[in-house]
Amino acid sequence: MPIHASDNELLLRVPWRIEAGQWIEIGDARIERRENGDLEACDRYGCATARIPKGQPVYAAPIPAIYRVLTATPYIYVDFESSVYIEDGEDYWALAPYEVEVYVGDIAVARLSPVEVKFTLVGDIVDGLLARYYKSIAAYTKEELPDPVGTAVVRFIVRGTSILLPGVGFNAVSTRFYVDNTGLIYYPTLTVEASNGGVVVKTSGDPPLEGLREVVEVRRARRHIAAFLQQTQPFVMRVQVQKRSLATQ
Amino acid sequence: MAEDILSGLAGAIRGSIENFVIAILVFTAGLIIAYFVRSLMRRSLKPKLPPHVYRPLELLVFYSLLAVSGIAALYPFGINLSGLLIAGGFAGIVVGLAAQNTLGNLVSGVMLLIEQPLRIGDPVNVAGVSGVVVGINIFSTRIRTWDGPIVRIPNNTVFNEIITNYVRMRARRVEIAIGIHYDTDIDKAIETVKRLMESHPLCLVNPGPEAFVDQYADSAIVIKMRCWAPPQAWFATKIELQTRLKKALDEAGIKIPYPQLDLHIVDQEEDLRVRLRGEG
Repeated sequence: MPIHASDNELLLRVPWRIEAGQWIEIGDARIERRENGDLEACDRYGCATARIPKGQPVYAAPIPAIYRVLTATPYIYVDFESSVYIEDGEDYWALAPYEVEVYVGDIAVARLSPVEVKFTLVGDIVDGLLARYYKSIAAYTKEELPDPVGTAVVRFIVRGTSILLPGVGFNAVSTRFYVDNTGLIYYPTLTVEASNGGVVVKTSGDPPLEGLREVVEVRRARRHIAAFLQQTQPFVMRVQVQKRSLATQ
Repeated sequence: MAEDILSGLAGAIRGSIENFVIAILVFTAGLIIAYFVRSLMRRSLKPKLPPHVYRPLELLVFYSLLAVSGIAALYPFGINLSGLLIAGGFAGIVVGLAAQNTLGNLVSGVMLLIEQPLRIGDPVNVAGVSGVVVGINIFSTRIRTWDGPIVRIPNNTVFNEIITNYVRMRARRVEIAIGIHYDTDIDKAIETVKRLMESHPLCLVNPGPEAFVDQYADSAIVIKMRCWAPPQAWFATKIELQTRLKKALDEAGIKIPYPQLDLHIVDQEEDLRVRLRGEG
């Protein structure tokens, strides 16, 4: 089980409150708060350490995956293992990475990536978009998705023409997170406006399912994000539409 | 007689008052036009230029228009303007010649600030100077070179030179060449360096990394590796890859050869005696 903690109850409450003597592991990210006040937060790219007074609460919360290892883009691109054919009004599910922000009060102590960090260019070198990259399956139901370790569930709703999508990106700057009773994390529903020229992905902010709870503390983190990246344009991607040849129709 | 004098005086006074009113009207019209032009300039320049640039420009235009309207207001009083204009023209030519470079820098500075081929914080190469832009004002651009010194380049030079901006791109290519031994399995070497790039977080997935034989050189097969990285992380990516490359090749058992020279001696009938002498 790649997500575990010194206390299993700890995993169910997001943001995760880490008391002295507790630790939590989410994929590659590990946060340990020792009895002597030392806090160590590590992922595969490095560690951050700090000394925190015993009475001071330490939290870890999911934030958009746009910081590690470089804050270079507000976009996350989910590349599908197989292209997915979608029609107007249909929805599908995928996994997208999040990062974990460890904070004390209003101070961010560390930002960690539970999964490997990769970037990609969506489009060409002249006017493409740089985006954080993640490869996921695209599923027609949430249950088809594999165990989301260090990733959040994301639901896309398609509007417009039918389209064959190799992947979908979105602007994660001002996004919020939702969590269910099992501690599973969700990005808000994304709307994919498809046309023959390509797709425009907009973040609705709505929870993908009923009964989810918003991770309120992430609002605090969003202030940092807004300060870092002022880009709020939706994700726009050109998709090469190959129509059937007349001979085969 | 006295009546004539009085009527003449009254006429003169009336004429003066009329002239004065006309002058005030002309000047007021000029003032309104100057204010209008200033607000027009402010509205169009404020979003594009910093305050220390657009304010002097709008003041220059504002006071120039005021001066012109002031001169025009003198016309009803019979003051000959042609002399003033000629004098002003000469003064303009003299000042223009004396301040040719300064004015050139000023105009180039304004053009640079409008066009914005470089911004503060951009890594650039201008006129052979490489570094980060730390300041742009209306006369000069300051660049902090990679080794620290700050170089001031007149805007005229900046505007007329080729500017290479290293951050105004979506991605920048990292390219490293490495020589491997002729006995090496080329496929294995290419696979090793490709894997190294694929494992690096800042080497983009698309366009993907590539490695290929670039050259069969005198002492080594030269493998070239390329990957694209976010422009702001280009240097960090390059030095990290270069540092890890030797280790990755060592782990894969791939040797980086020293320069080698085969020496063939022809027409040597007797045994060649060679004496090797150590340093000690």
